[in-house]
Amino acid sequence: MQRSRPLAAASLSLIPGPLLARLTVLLNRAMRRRHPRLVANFARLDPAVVHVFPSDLPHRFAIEFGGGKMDVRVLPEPDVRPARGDGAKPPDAEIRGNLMALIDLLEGRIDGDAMFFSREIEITGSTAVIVAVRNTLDREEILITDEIAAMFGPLERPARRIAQRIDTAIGRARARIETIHGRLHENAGPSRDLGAECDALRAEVKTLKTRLAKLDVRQMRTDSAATGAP
Amino acid sequence: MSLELVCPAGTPAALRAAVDAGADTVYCGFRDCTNARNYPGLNFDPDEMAEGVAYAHRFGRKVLAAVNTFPRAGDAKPWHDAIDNAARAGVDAVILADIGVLDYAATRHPDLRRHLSVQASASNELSIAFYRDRFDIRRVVLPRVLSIEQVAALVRRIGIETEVFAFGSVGPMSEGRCFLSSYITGLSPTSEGACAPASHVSYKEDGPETLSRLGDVTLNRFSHGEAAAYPTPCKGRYVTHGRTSYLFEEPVALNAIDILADLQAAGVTALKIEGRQRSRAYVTEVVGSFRKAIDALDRGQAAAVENTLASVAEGQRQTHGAYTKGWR
Repeated sequence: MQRSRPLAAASLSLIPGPLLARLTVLLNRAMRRRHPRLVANFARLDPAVVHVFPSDLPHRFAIEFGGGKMDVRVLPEPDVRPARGDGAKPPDAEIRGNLMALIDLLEGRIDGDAMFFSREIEITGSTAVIVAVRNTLDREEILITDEIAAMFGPLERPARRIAQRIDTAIGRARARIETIHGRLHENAGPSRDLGAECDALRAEVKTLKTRLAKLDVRQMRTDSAATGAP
Repeated sequence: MSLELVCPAGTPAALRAAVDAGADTVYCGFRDCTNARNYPGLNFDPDEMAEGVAYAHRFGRKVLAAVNTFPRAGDAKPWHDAIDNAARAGVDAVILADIGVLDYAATRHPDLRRHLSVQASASNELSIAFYRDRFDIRRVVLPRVLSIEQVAALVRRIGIETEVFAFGSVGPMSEGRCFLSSYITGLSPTSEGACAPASHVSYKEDGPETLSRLGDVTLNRFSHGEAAAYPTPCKGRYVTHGRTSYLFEEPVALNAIDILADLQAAGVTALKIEGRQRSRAYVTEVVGSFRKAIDALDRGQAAAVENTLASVAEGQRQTHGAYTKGWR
């Protein structure tokens, strides 16, 4: 299975809010065209709104579904008050996690329950709504790279090829950065308490010295007994 | 004879994933109260069931339809429809629990193979013989309360196929008939199809800890970073006699992958993976691991497969359950 996380993560973190909102509209159209069953399955659920907070992105998203419709949109910045009458609804549930985990979840690569058990994703609000979203997403095989490429219409194929190359390049670059970062950590910053370690070593040396002294005394007594010396 | 690997599918995508990962058989249910995993957004409509059967049969695999809840008084139609739709979809067998539903299936679709669900809680030879003789069930799914020795004793005496749980949630209550969940939520798992229904589950931050609740009852309190499980009453942490503990069962998954040779020697026909409510990623990982283990067993290399399933185990811990420790 191909991974599309690096490109999606890099793209989403760089795109400014207004452009991302426009792209989300296009993505909605592409999803309707490419995954009519997914959209229909969301539309048949009980009406609800879920806010998604990727913890490592400046953007937040809303998924609104049920009652015959399904829509994904970008939420305004937290410090921007929504315009009056813009139809913003309070969410029934919220889901938080780093973008990689959320995309893996979307693509069915990671088990949602396992992620929750390990607390990589946090949910608040209606558990039934979250369970419905997770189950509905899991019914469909989605690859974010393909969805982004599909927005290019007749240029979908070349766009996908380019996306895959960028994806691979970003993935490699990230892996290299992580390796370098790890090595720097290994060399630079022992998190251990050196003072405590020195104290422990001193105590161990002291114990060993005491044991050695006792052994010396015992040996001397043994030698004395053997030679008959007082 | 090789152990048959029976795998869960909560969605059509999970069914395809199970087949692709090496399942011999996939079991699934309809999108209503007629199966014991009736969670929102899960399960199959009749068309999806037929498509799933076609996909599995293309690869020579089987599909079983679970119609394993108990009809409500005066409202048997959903269960009758489920049996009829399963037969129409061409499933290889139906998994049933209620004697009325068993009778309906045996009468209306005599050629449709019938398996006895774990929900029937048939754990002794007298009970199993009743279902075998009365409804001609061909296989019994044994409750997770038997030791390997007890499984072997049953296999010798009942004369039909046995299917045992090999991985997944440990259901320590009377296999699906959890009165605690009914008491707390007012919804019966046996008729509504969901223990601890998601509509009644909530999580609440409480300082450095998270509370998991079912209805108005707090079932557990976790510190951040501590592995958590879906809050079912049987896996709650309770205070009794001043001591806090997992009173009934710890949040831990059954995993029999390293005792498959013992189960095979006991005469078991099939291994069941629990988890229709889990994702297709879970299905792929667990089914793939068990496929390798069974293939290794068939080659006489029982110890050749490493157990790497802790990450998808409930509470990220594993147990042999009653197979090695018996039932208390």
